[in-house]
Amino acid sequence: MLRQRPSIPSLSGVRSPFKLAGLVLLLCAMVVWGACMSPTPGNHRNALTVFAAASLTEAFDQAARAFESEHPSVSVTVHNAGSQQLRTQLVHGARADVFASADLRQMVAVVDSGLVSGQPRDFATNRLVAIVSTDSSSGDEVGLAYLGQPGIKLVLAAPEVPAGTYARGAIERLRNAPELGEGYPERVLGNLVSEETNVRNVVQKVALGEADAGVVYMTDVNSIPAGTVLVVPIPPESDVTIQYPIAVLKGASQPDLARSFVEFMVTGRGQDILSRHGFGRAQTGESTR
Amino acid sequence: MSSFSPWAPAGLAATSLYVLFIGLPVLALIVRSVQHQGFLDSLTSDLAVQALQLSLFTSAVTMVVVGLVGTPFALLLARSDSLVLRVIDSVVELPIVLPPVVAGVAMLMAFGRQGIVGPLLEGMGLSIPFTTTAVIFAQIFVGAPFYIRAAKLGFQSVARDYEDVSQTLGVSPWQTFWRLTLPLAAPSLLTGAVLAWARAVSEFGATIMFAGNLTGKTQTMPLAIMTAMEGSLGSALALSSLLLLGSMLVLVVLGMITRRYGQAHR
Repeated sequence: MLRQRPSIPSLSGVRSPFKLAGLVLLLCAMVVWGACMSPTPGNHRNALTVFAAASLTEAFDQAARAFESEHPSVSVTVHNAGSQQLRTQLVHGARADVFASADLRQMVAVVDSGLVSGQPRDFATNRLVAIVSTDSSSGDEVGLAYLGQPGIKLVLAAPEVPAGTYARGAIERLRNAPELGEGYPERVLGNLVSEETNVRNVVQKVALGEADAGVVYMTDVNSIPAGTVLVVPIPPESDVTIQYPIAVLKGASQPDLARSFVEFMVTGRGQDILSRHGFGRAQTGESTR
Repeated sequence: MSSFSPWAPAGLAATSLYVLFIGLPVLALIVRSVQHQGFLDSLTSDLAVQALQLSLFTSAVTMVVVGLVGTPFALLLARSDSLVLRVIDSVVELPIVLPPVVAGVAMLMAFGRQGIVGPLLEGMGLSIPFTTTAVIFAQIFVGAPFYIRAAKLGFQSVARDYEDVSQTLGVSPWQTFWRLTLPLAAPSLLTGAVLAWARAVSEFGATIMFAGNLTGKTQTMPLAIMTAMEGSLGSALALSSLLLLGSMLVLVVLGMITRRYGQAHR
C-alpha cells in the first residue's frame, strides 16, 4: 500500500481549527497595527513629498528638517533613489510635489511627459572622484592608473543612472591623459563587474571592500565611514559638468508649498546646507535645455 | 450540492474578481508588449538574448547541483529519525520564508571578500561576488528548499515495505533505490524540480545584492527587466512577456506531471 500521496510542497499543513483561528487573529492584528502606524497625510500637517536623487540623500534630509522648522505646519518626506528610477516612477504615476534630479536628461524626460509645472532650475553642482577600497590598496599612493590595472573589480552606476553617464564620460575624456597610457577607457571598462542602480550602491560596494574601485560624486565620500576608501580626484579637464535641476511637479498636492521648497533650495537656506555637504553653487538659476 | 447554492453568487463574484485581478495585468502585459513598436527588435536585442542565455545557463547549473545534492539529502531526511536530522529538517525551508535581499546580504557576509570564509576562498584564488558563480549560489540558496521539500515527501510516500521486500529478494540497496524508490518518487521529484527551477529563474534580490548587475555575466532576466524599465519600457515589456511565456510553460509542465501522477495512482 502506498501511503498518502505527496502534496505540492507547503510550508506547513494548517489543519487544526485553532491554529487557523490563531493565524486569522494574527493577520487581523497586523492589519490593525499597520493601519495605526501608517502616516496619515493631510492630517493637520501639510505633507510635502520630494523625490530627490540618491546623491542628495543627506543634504535633502537636513534641508527637509530646516524647511519644516521654517514652516511648522509642514511635514516633508524625501524619497531618494537613482534619478532614472524616480523618473520612471513619476512617469508611471507616482505622486510627488518636487523632483530633484542629478542630471538634465532625467529632468527633461519628466518635462517631456508633461509632468513639470514651470521651468526646472539648477540648484547645485557636483564633481566626480574615483574611490579605491583601502583593503585593495597596499597603502601606496593610488592614482587613476589603478582603475585600469588588470584584475581589479570596478563598480559603476548603470549607464541610465546620472552618475553612470557622468563616470563613463569622464573615463572617456581620460583617454587624452598621456600618463594613463594607451586604451585607458577600454582597460577601465574591462574591469567593470557590476552596474548599480544608483550611485550609493556603488559607494556601498567599494566601502564594504567587495569591489576595489568605483567612480562616484565628491559629495558621496562624506557618507562613507572614515578610513574605508581612498579618494582619487579626477583632473578638472577630464571632469564633466554636473548640474542638479529641481522642479515643481504638476500633480503637486501642495503647489504653493512645493514652490517655496524649490525657492528654499535654489536661493534660501537650502544653498548653505548643500554647500555644507560639498555641493557647488549652480551657475544660473534656470536650467538650460 | 444543493447546500452550496446560497454560496453560489458570492463564490461567483469572488471568482470573477480574482480572475480579473490576476488576468488583467497578465493580459495588459501581453497587449502592451505587442502594441509597442519594435517588439521583435527588443526580443532579439543584445540585452534580451544575453539575459536569456545567462538565466537558462545559471538555472540549469543550479538544477544539476540541487538534484545531485538535494536528492540524497532528501532521502536521508525521509528515512532517518535522528534528532539532528529532524532539527535540520525544520530549518531546511528557512530560505523559502527569508526575504531574498536578506539572503543576499547573508551570502555577502559569508562568501564576500570581507565575509567569514571569503578571505579563505580569496586565498585559494576564488572570488565569488560579482561572478556568474555568485548568481548560481543565490539561485541554489533560494531554490533548493522547494526541491528538497518535495523530494522528501516523495520518498516518504514510498513504503519501506517495498524496499525491504526488494532487498530480501536479493536486490542490492543501490539497485533498489534506482529501480524502485526513485521511479516511485519521480513525480514528486519532478514537481519539486520545476518549482525550484521557477524560483531560481525569478531570483532577483539576492542576485543583485551578491552578484551585482552586469550584462552577459550576472544580469539575469529579472535584473535585465529592472534595468530596461529605467531605460526603455519596450525592452522591459518584451523581456517580461518572454518570462511570462516561460512561466506559463512551467505551469503546463507542472500540470501534466501532476495529472499523469494522479492517473498512475488511481
